[in-house]
Amino acid sequence: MRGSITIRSPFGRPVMAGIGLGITMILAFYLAGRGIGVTGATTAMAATLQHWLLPRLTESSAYLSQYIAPGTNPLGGWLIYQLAGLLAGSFVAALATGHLRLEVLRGPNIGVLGRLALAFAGGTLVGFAARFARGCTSGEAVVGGAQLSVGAWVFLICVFAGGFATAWFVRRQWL
Amino acid sequence: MIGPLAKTGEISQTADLWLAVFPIGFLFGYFLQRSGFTDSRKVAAVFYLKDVDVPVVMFTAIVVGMLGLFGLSLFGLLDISRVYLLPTYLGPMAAGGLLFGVGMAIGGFCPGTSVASVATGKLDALVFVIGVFVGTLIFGDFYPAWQGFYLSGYKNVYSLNELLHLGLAPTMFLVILLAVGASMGLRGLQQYFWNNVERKPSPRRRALVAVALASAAVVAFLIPTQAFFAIENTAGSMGGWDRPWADPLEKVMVDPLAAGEVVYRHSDRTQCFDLRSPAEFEQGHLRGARNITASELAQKTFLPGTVVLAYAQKYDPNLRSTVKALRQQGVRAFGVEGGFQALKPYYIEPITGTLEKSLGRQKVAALRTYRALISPDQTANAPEPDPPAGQRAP
Repeated sequence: MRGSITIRSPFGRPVMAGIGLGITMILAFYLAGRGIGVTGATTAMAATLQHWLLPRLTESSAYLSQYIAPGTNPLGGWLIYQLAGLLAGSFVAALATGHLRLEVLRGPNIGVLGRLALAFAGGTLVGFAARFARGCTSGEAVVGGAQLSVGAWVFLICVFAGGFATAWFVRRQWL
Repeated sequence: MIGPLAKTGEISQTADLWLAVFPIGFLFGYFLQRSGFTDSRKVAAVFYLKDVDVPVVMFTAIVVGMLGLFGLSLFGLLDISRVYLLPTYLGPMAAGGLLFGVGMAIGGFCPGTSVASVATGKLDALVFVIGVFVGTLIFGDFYPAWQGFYLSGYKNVYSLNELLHLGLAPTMFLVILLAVGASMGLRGLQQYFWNNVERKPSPRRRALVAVALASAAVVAFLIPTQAFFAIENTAGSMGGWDRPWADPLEKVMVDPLAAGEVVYRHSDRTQCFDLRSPAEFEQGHLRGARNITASELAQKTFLPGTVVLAYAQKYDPNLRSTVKALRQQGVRAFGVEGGFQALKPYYIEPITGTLEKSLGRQKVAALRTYRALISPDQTANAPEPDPPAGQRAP
């Protein structure tokens, strides 16, 4: 898989991708006056979804009710549009490089169900934790890191600390 | 054209949204996929030092974004005071980061990469995204249980150069040094433990990096910090202040809610002045306000980038001219329409039901955030969550 993409440059592929993401971020700063991000959009979507299913509960939540305030379209925000673009960009890139495939990617020593269970557990933790951090790796760590935000750098360091501390316990999933 | 274009009125709101789809969102997703992050195994491999591409991409993006943000400002192309800068909540961000890292090692994604991966057909990513929704809703539905912690450790917009007591350019140089050092160090560890690095650094590339770092060091000590914010000084003289687009922050005189928004957006650089008599001042004032006379205010000089919020007891025709005079010297100054009397029901007294009704829920939520910043300590309600990033153009 690694060999299927070749970008010739004095640096490797990760550096070129990083430069691409950096330029994307600069575009967001210059055009919209804000950074890129994902969890702002997923939070608005989660609140909207729950509002459809359980309107009372959602309206009584001091946190989620902000996202579904009457008179506003919770799915009309900038981050939602950006998320739509993200899906399109990733789709096109996968299509062009032959990575577009319905599949479950997993380590050699774990079954499909095990992998999906761990993906769900990890996703739940990440979704929960991202609210405390006010963002995720893109919206908080990378954008905040570029803005020299102390909180973002603390977050970034802690993400890697948490990951390295956990790695040993889930090694059978990945190695 | 001076950016951010969406905030200076150069592009419409609709255009702003479509530009979020393309190029911004599109390139975001494109590069996430091209860097290989849509494969959970590659993301998780970093925690075994088996493939350290993730931090290398992140560090590179941070350095490029940082140089772009402050570089555009340095060359007068971007008014950085109107870019939404992330605030710091120290404890929640540290704890959130740790838990986030645990989830990343277990799940093999972060939110951005998982969504990008869904678009490439990966079902484990889809399940991860469902998990993210569930985790978000658990946070929201049991919010009172952790509200106190969530709002703790608020440090405003707090940047590394303030922390390190360094100039902006030397701080940026240190970040570059850290990014290059960490990337090369992690790559070295990958090679040491797994012996699987395909591209060994060539002497030519090493020399390139060394020369770039050395010249960056020289530049870093030549640029004074104020130079990065020069545009805020000149913006006033370019007629940018009183243009009639809808942004309340463009007005000279602002209503109480917009006054709160001024502090909210620029809390890191706002100075508040109470122009009433000392006796009136003693009976109650906005948090952090200083009691001086209008003529003292007019004669004050301010550091570049300072935002000034001033109020009298009630409507005061002289305040407008004082504020305008401050803007002539490049200070981003605002007067409060209606003075302290107008501010009182919003920030000094508890919020009444009538006010709540007249404002509507969303504005009340915003008001609570502002109160947490500027209401006098004793009367301030418990701070409320920050307005959602999704719908509020910050």
